[in-house]
Amino acid sequence: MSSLETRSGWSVIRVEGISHSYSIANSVIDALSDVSLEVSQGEFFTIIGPSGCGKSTLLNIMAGLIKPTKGTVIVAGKKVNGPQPGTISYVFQNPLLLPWRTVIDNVGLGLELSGVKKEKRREVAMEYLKLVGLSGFENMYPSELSGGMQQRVAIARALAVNPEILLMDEPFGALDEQTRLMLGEDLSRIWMHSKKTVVFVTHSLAEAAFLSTRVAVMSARPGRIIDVVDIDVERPRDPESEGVQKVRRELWLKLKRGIGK
Amino acid sequence: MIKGNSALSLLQRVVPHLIIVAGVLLSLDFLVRVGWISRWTFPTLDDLLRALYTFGSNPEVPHGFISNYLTTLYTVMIAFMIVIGVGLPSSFALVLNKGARDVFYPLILAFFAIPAVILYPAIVLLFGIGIESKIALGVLVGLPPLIITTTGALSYLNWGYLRMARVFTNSVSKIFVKVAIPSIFPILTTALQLGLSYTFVGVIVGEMVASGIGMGFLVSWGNTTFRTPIMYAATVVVILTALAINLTFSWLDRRVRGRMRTL
Ligand SMILES: Nc1ncnc2c1ncn2[C@@H]1O[C@H](COP(=O)(O)OP(=O)(O)OP(=O)(O)O)[C@@H](O)[C@H]1O
Ligand SMILES: [Mg+2]
Repeated sequence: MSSLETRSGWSVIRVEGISHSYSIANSVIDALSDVSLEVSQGEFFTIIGPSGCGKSTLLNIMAGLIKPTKGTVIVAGKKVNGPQPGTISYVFQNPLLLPWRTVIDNVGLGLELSGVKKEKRREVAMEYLKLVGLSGFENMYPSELSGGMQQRVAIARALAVNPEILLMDEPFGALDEQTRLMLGEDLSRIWMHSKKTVVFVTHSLAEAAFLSTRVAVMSARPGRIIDVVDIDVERPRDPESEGVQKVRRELWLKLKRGIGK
Repeated sequence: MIKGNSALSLLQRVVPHLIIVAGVLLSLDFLVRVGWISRWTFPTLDDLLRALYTFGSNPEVPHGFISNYLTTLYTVMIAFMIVIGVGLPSSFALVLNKGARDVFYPLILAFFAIPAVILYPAIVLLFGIGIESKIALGVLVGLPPLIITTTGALSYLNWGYLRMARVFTNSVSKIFVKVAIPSIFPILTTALQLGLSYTFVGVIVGEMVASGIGMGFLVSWGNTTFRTPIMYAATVVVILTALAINLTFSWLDRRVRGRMRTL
């Protein structure tokens, strides 16, 4: 069953016995089966697992976008009953930028939806645009940006509301490898600088090994946690270093075992 | 897009259209003058222009031009308000409720396919010959295209956007105003424009077939009493009004889109 790591830091997310089934037409799809885990404050927690094993489902449950069939999620000491604006931000695989808004209006969307005044919004949005390396692009429209830049804007939008927790569902999945690497390094820098708790879903074992403090490995559907691996490689990390490569191989072996079971 | 004097660029864009329209009118004028088309069928251009110029003060026009024009505008406005008031909520309900959609949508499509004007005699029997029957016909003609286009627009709603916005706020109305409506805005204005055009058609047809007042009435009255210049003057006014409505919509569309830049 799930190895439940206890850490020194405060568990800002506690997932307790989550199972989830989707019912469509006459059939029921079991997506998650009895998943428990804890994420400490300031961690970079990554979830890997075969396609369709329920990673997105799990993230959506943490975000309060889906009610689980069974179990509870506790975030920052409170039971999750729905989205928690300002506490949890979410970066989706697709940047989901609003095409009729300029870059800065997209970054400011979360602030606008939570009622922040225009001047303040602009100031904060500019600050986060700078953080993701897009100063000077504020008046462009999303369609004028590359895929990588669009995802940077989405990350800035998520961070601009200053959430405690950032959920990221394969945020770089649609990008080419070069762009992925660059964004990965930037994300690592942003994470170290901001000390936010990040829960990150990826298909890339290299990304998981390079970025994470811990990695949860899930089984094929219905998803269970097979193992939670500590990544003790020193930072700043080099994606090509022997330490990171070794972790990558270790994750691959665990994943293979999970699929083959 | 090139920014510049928008009034001037609009003028430049319509020049070809104006040339074509002027060409057609001048050709007709020529054909009337050489006698290939009878003066009962089409007036010469100067007769038409004189009829237009004196429209407001012409004692021959029943009730006077202004009363007819205002009656038509008023009727269209009331009918269109009903079309919007019924059409938009119904469209949202149809998109949200699959059961209702399965039952009603095919009926609405079928109704749109039949010429609703055929029901006009029944409507007149029901509502009389006054403004009510024109409103009813305008609504019957305008409602289906509005609902069909709006439900179409709503099915383009990107649920990903809504989900993304949901993470930032618990306020459904904020998501609606800032994300949902703007995301379908271009198609929504088209739906409203289409609904209004069809409503206008319904009202004019109603006035032409059975009425004592309105622009449609003036056209058919001019026709049956051989006051050809008045008939065409009324036609031109209706055409210009329809064009003005469409231009207003395009202008509104651009303006609201400009407003969406909020920072
Ligand atoms: N809305 C839904 N309705 C029905 N079934 C769903 C729904 N969403 C997901 N599923 C099913 O639940 C299972 C888990 O889906 P989920 O998207 O969580 O997997 P995932 O691990 O994120 O996959 P991927 O790595 O491909 O993104 C899949 O079998 C999927 O088909
Ligand atoms: Mg997924």
